[in-house]
Amino acid sequence: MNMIYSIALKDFKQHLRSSRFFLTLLLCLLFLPFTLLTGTDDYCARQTVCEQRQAMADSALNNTYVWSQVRPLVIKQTEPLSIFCQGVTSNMGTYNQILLNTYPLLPYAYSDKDCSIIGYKQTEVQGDTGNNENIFLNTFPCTDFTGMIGLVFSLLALIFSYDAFSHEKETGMLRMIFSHPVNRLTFLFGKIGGICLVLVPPVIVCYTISAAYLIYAGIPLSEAVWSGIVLLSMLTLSFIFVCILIGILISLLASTSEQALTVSFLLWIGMVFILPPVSGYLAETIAPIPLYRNIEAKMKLLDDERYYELKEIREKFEKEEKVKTMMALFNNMGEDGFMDKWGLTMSFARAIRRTHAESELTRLVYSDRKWILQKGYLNKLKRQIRLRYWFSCFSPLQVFQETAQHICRTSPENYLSYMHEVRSYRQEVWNYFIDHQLFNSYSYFTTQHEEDFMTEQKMDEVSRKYETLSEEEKTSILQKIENRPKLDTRELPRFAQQPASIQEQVKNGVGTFLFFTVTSLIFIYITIKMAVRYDIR
Amino acid sequence: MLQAIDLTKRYEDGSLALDALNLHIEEGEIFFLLGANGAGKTTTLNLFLNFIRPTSGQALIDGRDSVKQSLEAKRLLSYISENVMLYEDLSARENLEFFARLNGKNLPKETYYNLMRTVGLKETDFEKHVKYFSKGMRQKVGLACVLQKDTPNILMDEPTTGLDPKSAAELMDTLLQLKQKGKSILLCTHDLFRARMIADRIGIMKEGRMVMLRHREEFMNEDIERIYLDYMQEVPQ
Repeated sequence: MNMIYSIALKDFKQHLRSSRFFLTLLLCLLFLPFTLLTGTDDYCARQTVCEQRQAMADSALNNTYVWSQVRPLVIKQTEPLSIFCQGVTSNMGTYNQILLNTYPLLPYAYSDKDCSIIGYKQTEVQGDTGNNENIFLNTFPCTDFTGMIGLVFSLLALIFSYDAFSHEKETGMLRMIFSHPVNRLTFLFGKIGGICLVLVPPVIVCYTISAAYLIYAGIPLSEAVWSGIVLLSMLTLSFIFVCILIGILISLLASTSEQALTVSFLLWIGMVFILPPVSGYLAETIAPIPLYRNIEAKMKLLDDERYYELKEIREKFEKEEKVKTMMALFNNMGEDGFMDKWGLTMSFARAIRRTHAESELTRLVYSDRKWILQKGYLNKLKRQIRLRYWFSCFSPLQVFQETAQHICRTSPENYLSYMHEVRSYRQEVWNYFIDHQLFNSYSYFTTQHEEDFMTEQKMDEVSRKYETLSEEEKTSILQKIENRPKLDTRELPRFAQQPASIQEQVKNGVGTFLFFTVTSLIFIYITIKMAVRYDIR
Repeated sequence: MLQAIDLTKRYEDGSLALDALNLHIEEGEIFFLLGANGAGKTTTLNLFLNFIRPTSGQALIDGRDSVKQSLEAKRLLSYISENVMLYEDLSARENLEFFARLNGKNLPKETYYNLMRTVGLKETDFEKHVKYFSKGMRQKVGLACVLQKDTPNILMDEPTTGLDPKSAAELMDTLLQLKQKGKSILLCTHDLFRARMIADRIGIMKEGRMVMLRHREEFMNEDIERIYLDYMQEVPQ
């Protein structure tokens, strides 16, 4: 142990005096503050948008008159750890609306009509497959803090380790060292220790400085954020360890330092620039997804079918209730069954109530039918993600980045499980409506009390009288309608996003730590085998 | 005491580098191993150092097998190569300290300074980076390493090559001092002149075999250079 320490210490001293160490400092100083600042700015901007949207959502819910207007907006809370790792955040939207007609698929980004339900404007693509359409795959994670850490430190680990054996052999130092009572494994672990001594402190300093900066920037740091930072640093260290072992293995296999440097550099290029797009491409090729436009077209057909079914229901109840006057003094209507009427006849109100009692359930049935299509699409997206994940196992950098996304709750899986929560909430909302018989109530579409509904005759009179009113009197009536009492929605279930927890972070990280441990053990085993056989002459 | 018993090395390509070498170097003896390039001198040293494994036979260092008791054997052995290899970006003292630590020693700075004084290194060079050192100065640091390790056996591979006459003479003086202390010294060289000066025995190697062995009393009365050249030209049986 003492000898390992001596070799590690000697290497540490040498590394500190080398140009490589200055490169380490330079790269850390150049890129990391930059990514931290941009990450924080981005987080703050998203947080502002979220707060505004949340205020709008709360206000919308508190200013409803009828239950058909209650379509809660669900706002995705910004993850503070996204400062470190954005994952797919920039590709995703921030909100969803709970609708009767449709299940929420993914967070919505825009409200433009041109945009599809998956939240971004799709380009016109010929054919049936939607390659490059998986927004979970179209990411370049190297621009965030952990991305840059992975990029810089994988390069540095290779730079420090590629000539660990080959350079010593070339300079004849191996002969000198092994003429002393030094075990080859002692030398190997000393070498690894020396590189770790150089690379571990900068990693810890980087994360400490970033945590200090977050406190300075006033970012709320919960327990989960702290544990996330600790886990990220541990993940980075285990990743660097694997990279060091790869570098040393290259050093043992290469016949010259130049050869080792070339191989290390090519490997790094492959890890950073080639494997990520290749794994995405392979995933898309092996498990293609259909064009979402085609799914939307099928959903549109179901919507048309539903429209006619609802029309039939409406006509059936209008007939049964013998509705003669299908008008209201105040009428406001919108999408997803929204209807706010005032000044109705008894027969018309009854027909609408009975229609809603059936039609809104029909909407739910159709949304379930549409969900089958959406779910099929989602499963294909998931399959692509999973395939990409398996392919990325060939690159420790990708494994590191994907785990960082998991820990920071910005990975595709996190978004998918969040959407699962949103869909559960949707179920909860509509169950509330069903349990409280809101679809079957007058309050679903009017603020008028049952006893105030008019007869057909009264309606004719009021209508005629309304025509004779002056503009001022008409405005006064409209104002009266505006000042109607609002709906009490306090009992309506509210969406509570699952907060980040240490257990969840640990659970997300455990697999990768195991992966890195197994990979390290395999590399250590191969490295030991190689080191023992290494020709030191 | 250094001992080679039927020591043989055949490489993977089939070439025979060393053919049943038998050698016995007593305490306080300086043995010069002579021979042309490729004769098997360095292979012999490599086998004693366990850098390569023998095909058959044994290399013993004070009775310890160089393969089976490698670490124990190396504790009893010092080695100086033709170009003493040191860490360029460490000072002479740091290099000494590092090699001392490899032997499990943690000595005070002053001890290293004394060792360097003993081998004739200037005080101003003690903390200077080795990259600025001449070959002679490196040899001195190498010798300081040997003194620090203080082993009963010393192996040297062409130690005088490239040294100026003064440095070479100083090295020979140091070797004689070490001999006085009872060290067994095996020195591989082409330097017949130095061999004649201080060797107790010389052996001439050719194509992996020891073709001639002479005691000091014998070779002092002979034209060693003539004998050496004759052996080099002789077609092996």
